[in-house]
Amino acid sequence: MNRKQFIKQSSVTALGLWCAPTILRCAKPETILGHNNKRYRINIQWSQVNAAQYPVKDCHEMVQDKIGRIILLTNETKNNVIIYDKSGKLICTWGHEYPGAHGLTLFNENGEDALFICDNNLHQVIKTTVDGRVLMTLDYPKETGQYNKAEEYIPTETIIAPNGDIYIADGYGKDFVIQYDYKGSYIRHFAGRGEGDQYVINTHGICIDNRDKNNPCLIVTSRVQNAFKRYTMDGKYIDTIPLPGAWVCRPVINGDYLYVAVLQTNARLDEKSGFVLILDKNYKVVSNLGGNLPAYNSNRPEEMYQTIKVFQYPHDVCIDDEQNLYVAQWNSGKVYPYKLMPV
Amino acid sequence: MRKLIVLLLLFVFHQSIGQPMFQLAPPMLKYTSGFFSGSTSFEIIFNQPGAEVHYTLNGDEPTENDQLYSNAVTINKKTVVKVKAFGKDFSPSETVTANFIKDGKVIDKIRFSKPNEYYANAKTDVLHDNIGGIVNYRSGTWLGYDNDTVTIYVDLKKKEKIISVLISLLQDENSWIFLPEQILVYYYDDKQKAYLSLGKEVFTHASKGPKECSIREIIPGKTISAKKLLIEIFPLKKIPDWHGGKGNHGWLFIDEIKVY
Repeated sequence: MNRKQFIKQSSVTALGLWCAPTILRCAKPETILGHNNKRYRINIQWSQVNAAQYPVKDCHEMVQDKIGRIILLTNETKNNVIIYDKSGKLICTWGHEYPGAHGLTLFNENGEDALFICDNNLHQVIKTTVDGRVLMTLDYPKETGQYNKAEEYIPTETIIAPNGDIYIADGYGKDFVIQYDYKGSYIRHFAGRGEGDQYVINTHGICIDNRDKNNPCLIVTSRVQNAFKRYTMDGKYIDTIPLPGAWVCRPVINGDYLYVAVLQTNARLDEKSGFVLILDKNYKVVSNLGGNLPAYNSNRPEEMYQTIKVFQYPHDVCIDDEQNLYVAQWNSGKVYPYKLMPV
Repeated sequence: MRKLIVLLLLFVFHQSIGQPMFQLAPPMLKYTSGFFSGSTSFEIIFNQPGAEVHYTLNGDEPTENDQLYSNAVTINKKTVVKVKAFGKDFSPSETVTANFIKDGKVIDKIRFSKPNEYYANAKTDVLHDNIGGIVNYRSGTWLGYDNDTVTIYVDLKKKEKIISVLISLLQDENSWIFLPEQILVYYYDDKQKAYLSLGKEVFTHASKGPKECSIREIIPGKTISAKKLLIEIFPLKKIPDWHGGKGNHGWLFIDEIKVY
């Protein structure tokens, strides 16, 4: 190429460079994730946090507080909690003492937000204010008679009932759900491992389904069994919601829908094969974000699988007050959460 | 220079909408077993609007010009199936491969070293039952070994001319399952009343390999007739440095043997 050709080409390229975002945006349709009436566009650069200054390891769980902030829990002890505004700007961080930070649940207690953190390494559940002041610590549940030492207890999730009762899922320990009153006094335990539908394997998440106001129930994850199991509020088994192929994490209910991050699928274990699944009020799969078009055979969903490599190992979904989703991921190259906006 | 500009353009484009071009995930390739007598079939499951699946049966990398998948495909000879998903708004998936292996000479029985108790199988014909070829070490068809030497005696129904010996192994290095250091195959020579060398394969483990059923074929260097074969497999004693389990003993998983 001679100089003249070079200049000519450079100026064409410069023009191209200037126009590129507009042209390319028109040329390539944006990927819309999901199905039916639950479809989203995704922004993988939502977080505007400087990774050098505020690093993450696993981004485990997220919640939104009463003033609209998005709270992320990570097991990076430089900043266990990162608080964002909805646009992804950093508000503040706190927490250096939770090396196994895993479960994050928010409960509005008489007008004040409280957080419940499950720490896998400390074998404890810690109740804090939204700015990190410790209010209560729950140690391993000796009262159940099922545990000899703290190490056997590896809590992954909590949910708080309207009356203040605390339910803790021992998802990486013995798979029991342990129920306490609001002061932390043991009431009962249930689920656990065994032969029969009422038992679970890897009870990784728990939530309260109060969409039927007269019949609230607990939805408990049995992740290795690719299912949710429903129990009454006092721990009696009701039924199983099979989700073939899907390693479901924590169920999150918002409005009429249940949202859940699927860590990975049976079709491709240990291969970053996760997606996000949405069920309607009748526990029917209506949308898979990054997964297959939902299909049923009789009353059972057909095996589910990833179809688009959007997520690696999604671990939790948070739904904000404008119906946007935030997806936190485990073991996915220290990636910050993604935001998904409904279309 | 031109490459740099293209990269820069891609970067600007990427920044502008916060969304890259996503890659399709590999389709699900469903079959009951990779081993068969007579004929068998496979199905491809991949329900993603805007994407379609193409496949080849000759071992070539699939392109959009290759066969479009619509219904179950019948296989009646040894075949390498390769499957890939394409869609205009996505980058193509990785290729999914499956080997379909047809029966060879009639095997009377196979005796083998005791596997690790967690990956054992009560069936005595587990290595010639035409069940397996599934890339999942928990599928129940694999024998798993974590010792230094695996010894396998193969008895054919009758004395036959041996063209090749096929061994189906699993490669799944994320699960610490490696190809072995070496496979040695012997045949029993009636005149010399001894096992003589038929052939061997030596493996290196310099870098990570794909997760797949690895079909190894040992072909004798000369014309051989035999009724009895001896296979010695030496699992990887020391996982290499590039792997998270470096220094530990590797696992060997085997699920089928064929003789042609």
